[in-house]
Amino acid sequence: MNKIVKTGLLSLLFVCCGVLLTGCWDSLEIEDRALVLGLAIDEAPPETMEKETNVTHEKGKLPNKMIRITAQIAVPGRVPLGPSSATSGEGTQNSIWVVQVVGHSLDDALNNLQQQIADPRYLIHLRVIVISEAIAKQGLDDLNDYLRRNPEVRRRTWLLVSDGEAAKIMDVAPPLERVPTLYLLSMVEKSVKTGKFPLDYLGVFWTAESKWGQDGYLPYISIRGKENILIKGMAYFSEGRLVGTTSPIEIGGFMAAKGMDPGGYSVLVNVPQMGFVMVKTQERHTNMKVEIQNGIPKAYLNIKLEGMISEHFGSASEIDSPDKLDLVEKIFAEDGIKIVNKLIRDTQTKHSDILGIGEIVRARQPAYWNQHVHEKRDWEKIYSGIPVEVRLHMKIRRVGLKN
Amino acid sequence: MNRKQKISTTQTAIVVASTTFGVGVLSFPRSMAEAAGSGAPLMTLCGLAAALVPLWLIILLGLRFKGQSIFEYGQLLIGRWPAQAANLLLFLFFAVSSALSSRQFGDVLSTVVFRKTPIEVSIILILLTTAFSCRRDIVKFSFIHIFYFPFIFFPYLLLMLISLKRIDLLSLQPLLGNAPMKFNPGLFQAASLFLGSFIVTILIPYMKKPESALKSGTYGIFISGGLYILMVFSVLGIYGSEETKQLLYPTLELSRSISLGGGVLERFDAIFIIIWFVTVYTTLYSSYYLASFAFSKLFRFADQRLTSSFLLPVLLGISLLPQDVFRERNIVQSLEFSGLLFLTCYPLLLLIISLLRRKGGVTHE
Repeated sequence: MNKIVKTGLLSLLFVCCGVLLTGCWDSLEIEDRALVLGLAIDEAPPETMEKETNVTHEKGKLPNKMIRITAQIAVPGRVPLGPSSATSGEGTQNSIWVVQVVGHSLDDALNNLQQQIADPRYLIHLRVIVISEAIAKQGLDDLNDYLRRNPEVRRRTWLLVSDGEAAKIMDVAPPLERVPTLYLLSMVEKSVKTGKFPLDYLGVFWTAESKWGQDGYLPYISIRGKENILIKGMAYFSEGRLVGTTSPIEIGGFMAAKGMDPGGYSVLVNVPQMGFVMVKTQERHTNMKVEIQNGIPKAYLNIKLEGMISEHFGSASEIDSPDKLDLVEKIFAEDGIKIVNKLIRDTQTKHSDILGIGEIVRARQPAYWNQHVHEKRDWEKIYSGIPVEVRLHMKIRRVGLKN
Repeated sequence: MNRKQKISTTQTAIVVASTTFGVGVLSFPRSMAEAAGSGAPLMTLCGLAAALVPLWLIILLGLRFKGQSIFEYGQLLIGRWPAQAANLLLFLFFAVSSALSSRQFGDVLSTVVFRKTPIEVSIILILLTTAFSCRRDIVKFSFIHIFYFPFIFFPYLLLMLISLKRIDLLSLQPLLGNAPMKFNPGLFQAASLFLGSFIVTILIPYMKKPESALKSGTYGIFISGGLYILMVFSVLGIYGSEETKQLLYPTLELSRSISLGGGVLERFDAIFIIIWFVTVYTTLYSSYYLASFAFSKLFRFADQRLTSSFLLPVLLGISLLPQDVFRERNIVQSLEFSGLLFLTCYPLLLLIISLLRRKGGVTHE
């Protein structure tokens, strides 16, 4: 019996030791972290080189290129976690702390930033990075290198291109959310849910950019008024640089060409003798195939859409018969093809295959691909010269509650 | 020998499966993509087929010499000293490969999760865990494998199933890859994933029905190989071969990027690392066990219990030798290549000699 008691006590001691020995020896309380929620990256004039604090290097021997980053750091305890009755205003001012630094590269700038703030910076909650158009035009390879290496950065971060100064986006304080970055985030995420923009996380962009037969695209945003942000279109890339942007309706055209659901865009068509009709796309389905004709690839896009009529104005003639619906569908198809064709023509002149036609060639026509494509540039050149045939069919099923 | 319990056919299969499914999980989609582009799943399949050759050889030998492992019948066939030299090489291979597995394990932990913990601590912890479990006999060894197997198999399967809907089939075409497949080193890298299957040589003497060893070994390879292929399939299907080449640990990246319930649950990397810990443990367990076993046979100890503790500091030392990740990768590659060569040729040689000298033998022939 004595032995059992002894063993019992001994094992109790072991268990206690186990509890006491383990621990978060390198733990860091959330209050002691500088959580970067959003980053804005802008070009900075070379003169700022003089002002830069030399944290990672001595003066000289570095390229003239300078960038300026604006970081939104969450102030612990102030970031609202749940729904709250307080609206914007001073709430915004307090919940985040905006720090601006310059540097030669992203990490250089972040190190400069670290030198200025007490708490260690963490990118684990980095959700949105906004870059200015000028930065994107210079190419993103240098930025991507840091973001790929850093294990804190998620592939589900959003990278956005702003038409003006990116830092300004960080100042926009819409009344809907207290933290500007979170508003930006919920805006893009909701636009994905409502079919206004394809799902295009940083990881998706990287994957597309890596593929030889495809180029990446990013959301292109702009400030409207004081506190609105507009999704202005898509910014598309070639050879890792931004080469062009689209209009918002062309995002719809792109999503139709890729057959991405849910449908979100409405097209206002002018139907002869029936006035103007707004047709809302609800479902998209696309079949894309490539054939080799006369030694060059020819792409066929067969787009099938389903939609409904959401508005009709400018004419007394009602839409009340199958024939009239058919006419609307026909006019819609004509307009839709124009939109898609313009998008394709634009991207062709800019050598940016955002539709990923090259991937179909690579996958389905390997003989042609292996002979002609030896690096990513090769396909970008070929893409500009290939014929693309677009067919579009719209089927309107419902017209809303009005008879 | 007086043994109460024996290992069943299914148990052997599971030991082989959980042994061969190991450290390579994190990075091998990258090496497959480098070797074959979009033909990576096919390359893995070829590697699986190639890995069956050394496995079958060792099983055939085990069947001819019932109740003995390669460390014993080797001496019977080619004489004591040549066989001891070969046993030394076997020991070295398994000792170094366990050391390097623990190093790779430490690397991942230091880069991704415990960034302030010294790498030595992670390595010592996994080696200690393994060394203690190595003090068990073979039957318990197989039980430990069986206990952990569901924790490896089902989470990985779940991960693949979650990622299935994001797979773009275009990324997996053409099946043969665009550039010609590089069988050297692709095939060797794929085949060397399964080198741990050598563990059957010490399992066969303890099997209830040794005749079915061939079946169980093959099934074991099919289970882990199937999981490997599924993994290449989903990693490549999601990222495409070019992006996979850019990622140091593509599978980890996959677990980082999936989300469930519309973003409610995301960042599975923490959970994934825990599962991966078990995966590494079972693999390391087998190679550590083989190394201690070989060492005890080499110096004629009674069993591997003493040697397993003795090996611990040696393995720790070896694991800390590589200076950086690139040197480490080179060493691992050359080790895998030479190991594959030796583990194929040595049993082949033994089998030929045993056939020529009519030693050992299948009773019903």
